Amino acid sequence: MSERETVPAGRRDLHAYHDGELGGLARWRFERRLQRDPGLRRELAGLSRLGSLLRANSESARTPDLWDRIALGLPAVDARREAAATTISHGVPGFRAAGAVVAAAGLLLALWFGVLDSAAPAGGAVRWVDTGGRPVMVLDAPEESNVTIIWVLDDAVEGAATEVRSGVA
Amino acid sequence: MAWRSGIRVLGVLLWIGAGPAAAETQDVVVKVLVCHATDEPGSIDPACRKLHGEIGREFRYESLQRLEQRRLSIGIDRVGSVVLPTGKRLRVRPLQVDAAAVLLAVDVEGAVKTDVRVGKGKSVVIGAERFRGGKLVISLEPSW
Repeated sequence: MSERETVPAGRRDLHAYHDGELGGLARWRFERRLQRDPGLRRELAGLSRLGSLLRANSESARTPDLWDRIALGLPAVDARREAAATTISHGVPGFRAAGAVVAAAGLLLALWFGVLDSAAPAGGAVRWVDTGGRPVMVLDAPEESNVTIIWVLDDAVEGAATEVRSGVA
Repeated sequence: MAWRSGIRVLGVLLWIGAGPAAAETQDVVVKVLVCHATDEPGSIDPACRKLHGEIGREFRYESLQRLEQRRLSIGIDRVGSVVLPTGKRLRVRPLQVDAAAVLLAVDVEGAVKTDVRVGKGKSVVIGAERFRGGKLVISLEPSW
């Protein structure tokens, strides 16, 4: 009976010692037993090997799950976003310059075509046209020609032939 | 002496104000030519030869015949009109004129409405609508 009780107590101490849970006097007593008992040392060595195997298996069996992959991707996404933001912030002055050029060009065109209450200096320019929804072709090249042509296309066939040359029917 | 200076200043002011007003009140003469372009074999009407020179490279047709020719003298913001062979009206209204160009509002009834600036010595051609198997082609040539 005492033997049956001793073994479990010894195993309990062995596991506690192996796990580093024994302290003080109990630890000193167990180590003295360990010096005297080669079987106990083998068991302790077996426990250590088993622990190493388990840790090794758990490391090799560990596979990243979906969240891990997402989490790994997040820094890359952030980096790309940051790079893009940097590019845009560098590009903004360029856009501003282009916008200024476009605005200046628009103002010049407005002046040229007489938007500011002045007639066009040369040639004709269609300012507005309404054909009631029918397709229309406008040939307006005052520099190349003396004529501005507004050609209302009557049907789908004529509309399909909206080329430089077009039939009258 | 003071009243003479006053008269001079008044004269200068009237002269400054009269310049643009005179330009605005002058009539615009619009030569209206209505021709009929068809794919039927035919000829180019001598009256439409200039128009043919303007559109012949752009559009294909075999015959171009004059249907109507008018000369409208229209004041600024006045409307001149011509009855087309289709029975519909062509209306022309000069909106603005200066030395270089005139802004015309044109309404081909039921076909197209447009505002177009036409430079001196230039013209505007409108391919309006189908008529007798062909197309009505209207040329407007303003002068002032």
